[in-house]
Amino acid sequence: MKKVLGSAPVLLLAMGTGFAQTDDVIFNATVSDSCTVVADTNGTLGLNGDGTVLASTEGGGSAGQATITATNTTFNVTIDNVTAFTTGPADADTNTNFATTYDASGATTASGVAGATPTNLGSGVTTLAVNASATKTSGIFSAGTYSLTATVRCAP
Amino acid sequence: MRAVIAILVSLTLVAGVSRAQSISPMEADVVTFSDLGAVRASLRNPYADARRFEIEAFDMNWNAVDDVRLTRSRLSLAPGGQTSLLAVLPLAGEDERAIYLCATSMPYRQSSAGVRGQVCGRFRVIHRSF
Repeated sequence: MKKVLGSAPVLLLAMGTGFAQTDDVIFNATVSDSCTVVADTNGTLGLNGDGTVLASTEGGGSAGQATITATNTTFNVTIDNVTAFTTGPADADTNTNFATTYDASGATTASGVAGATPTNLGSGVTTLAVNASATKTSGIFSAGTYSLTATVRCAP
Repeated sequence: MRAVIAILVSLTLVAGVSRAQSISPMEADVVTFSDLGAVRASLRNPYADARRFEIEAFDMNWNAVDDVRLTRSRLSLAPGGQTSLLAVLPLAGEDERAIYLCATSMPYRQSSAGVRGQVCGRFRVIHRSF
């Protein structure tokens, strides 16, 4: 009996502290549709043996690189048409055809795609290798410094 | 005055879209009650260094449009910096008009084959009558 009475104050003390309860802490976030293009590395054009082609795929040339981060799968990548050299000798653009291609890896996989052809981007980070070329349909590239710019475009 | 009211309504409709990287939102519809529509987008510099950006507007066939008024066509942003872009476009009697609003980062160092990044948002302005 003494044992039962002895435990009563303990029970009363416990009741006085109220009932324990749990509650949820909710974290909300919204990731909006977005596309980020970062041009990482410029390329280099190499000259072919007969002086008619300047291309990143020729000896001494190298591809440019861009990183694209897309948060959903509704965006496409293309490379805007190159129509002229940014800098070059006076006859640089004469009888010259320009072309670009790209390879994609990471969230998107593609190989040797013509620049104007859209490729649907996967959600995530895509690495794009960009190749550019200029080809003389007549004559050869004269001595001088040449540069062209390829624009990597991400759009819905 | 009517045009001003319509522009304010348009801005209110797009202001609720959250901001993110490069250009945000990437797509939006805007309703206008006038023959002008205004779209606002947020531009962020994702690079680790300051960059210059060129802002352009294109039609759905990627032809440059010159009747779209941009608050700024060239600007610089600090690393991670963000700003808003405003484009006002006339509907010219059409019920709706769509444009791409594009931001292009300028290459900081030109080599023989420079690469630059361009992000475009697609915006549609829809005309409604009172």
